[in-house]
Amino acid sequence: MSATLAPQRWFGEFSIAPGQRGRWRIGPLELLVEHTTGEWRVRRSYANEPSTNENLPRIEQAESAEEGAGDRYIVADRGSQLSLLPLLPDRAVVARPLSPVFVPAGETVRLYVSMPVWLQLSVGAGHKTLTELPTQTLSDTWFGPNTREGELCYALRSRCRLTLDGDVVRPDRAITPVRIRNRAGSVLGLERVRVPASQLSLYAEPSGRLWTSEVALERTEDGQFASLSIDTGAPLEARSALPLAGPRETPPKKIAIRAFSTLFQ
Amino acid sequence: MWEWWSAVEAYLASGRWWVFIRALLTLSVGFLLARALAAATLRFVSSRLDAHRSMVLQRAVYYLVVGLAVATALNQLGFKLGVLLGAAGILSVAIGFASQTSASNLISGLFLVGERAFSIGDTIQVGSTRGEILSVDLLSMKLRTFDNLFVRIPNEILIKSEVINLSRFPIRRVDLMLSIARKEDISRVRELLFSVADANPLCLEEPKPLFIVVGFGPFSTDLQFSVWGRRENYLELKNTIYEQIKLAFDAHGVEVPFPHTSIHAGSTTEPIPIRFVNTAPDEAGQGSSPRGAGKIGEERS
Repeated sequence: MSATLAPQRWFGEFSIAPGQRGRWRIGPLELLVEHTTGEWRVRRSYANEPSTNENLPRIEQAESAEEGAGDRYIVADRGSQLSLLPLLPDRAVVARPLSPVFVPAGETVRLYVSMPVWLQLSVGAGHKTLTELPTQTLSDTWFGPNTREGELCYALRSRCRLTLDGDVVRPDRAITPVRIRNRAGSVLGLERVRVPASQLSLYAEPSGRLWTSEVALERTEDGQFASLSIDTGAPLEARSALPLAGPRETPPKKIAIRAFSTLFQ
Repeated sequence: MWEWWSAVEAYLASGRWWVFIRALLTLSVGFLLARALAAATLRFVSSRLDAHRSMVLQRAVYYLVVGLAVATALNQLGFKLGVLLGAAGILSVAIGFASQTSASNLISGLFLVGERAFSIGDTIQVGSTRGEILSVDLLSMKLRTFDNLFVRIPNEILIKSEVINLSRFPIRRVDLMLSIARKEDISRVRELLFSVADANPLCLEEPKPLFIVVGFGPFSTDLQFSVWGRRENYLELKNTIYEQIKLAFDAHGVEVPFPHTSIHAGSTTEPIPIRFVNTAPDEAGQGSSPRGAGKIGEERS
């Protein structure tokens, strides 16, 4: 006995009765959530290659539970409701273009950076959070002028595309438009760009594509400083998108001016 | 006995017992107030300051209030504070000479608190002792080592010796010392090591790993490969990356050298040829050759 729910989306609300289990394949993440009376068992594993076509959940009758496999969450709420909510990474993401990108003086570019999403599992009518897990294990990286000052971020290799034409919709990734303006008199070499993922909001298009708020980075005329601002609302390309999750950290209210090396490298 | 009792009676009759009780009350209230104020201070500053500063501030408040209470009580008993302080000054010089070590520790403690080279919760190494700081007191610092031992280190030692703070910065470098056989292609091994570091999520992508050819050993090419990781992941990164390097070396046939020796008869000759001989076991069973051992004289194959 198997059934497929919510054909367009892998996230949202699902009903898994005691004795049933749900199976998801979201990018490289294979997730198995099993419900027994008073207990939710969560098992996850990561494949080497991301799945592009089989990301729909399968709710099926559970076979005999394997003892010791997965994490067990004991909850008083006996409801069958399981909620999967995509979230953005809990730290900033540093995108390194696959090949060097240069922005000449006075130019403005708009790039697309795609990043894997996190997943929040909650159960019951009260939406009690069980756990949060990434759909892909990202490598750590350090972003700062030296090894004493800086912050821990997630490392990401990005194509930094200029257009999304012909791009396959990846259900496990959210796209961030990054607008970069170089007002200085010299060429701006983008070796690494810091995207403040934890300060962005997440939006979902009806097609299932995930978007984040747009980020604007501007290098000042003297070249020593750079400003960061985060647009409110969904980006231009996804005006029909609905908000899914707000920012994890409060974004700066105004334009934040920082040393150049804290935003670009 | 009766004389002593009559003296007490005379004291009580004079009304001075009331002064004595008042001083005692002042002291008790002072102690209670000191404890309450110190606890309130800790609650107030704990969210604003780190554990170390909070503790120092809490103690300062406690000792200040207790000091005031003692001074007031002494004043009520009729002691003149100016005279007492003068006496205390002379006494402290005498005590200072008598207990130089304690005084030295005390002064060192004040300098340590001011210097802020480490604070409560940091992991430090002093000499061969490594552990987490539990408290920094006026005379000594208390550590909990990783095998769960309680270590007290006098402040004087901390001032004089090298102290390594292992948790000052959020990232740390793991230095891996590796040896490969002389015949191996160094650039190929370099690429292999970088790909291993790239695949390990605990290994920071930036700062980039460091590859150094340390030199040529007697049997090997010695390498240093240094990778960066989060402070909390130091041990896990070290273990996983050594394991992954071993697997990668095995998978790509990179030889890890072992000590070996070539024997030559002279500088220009070929190595001495050795032939293995099959030996028949001694009929009496008293042969000296172990099974499979070779003997020079006949070729085994």
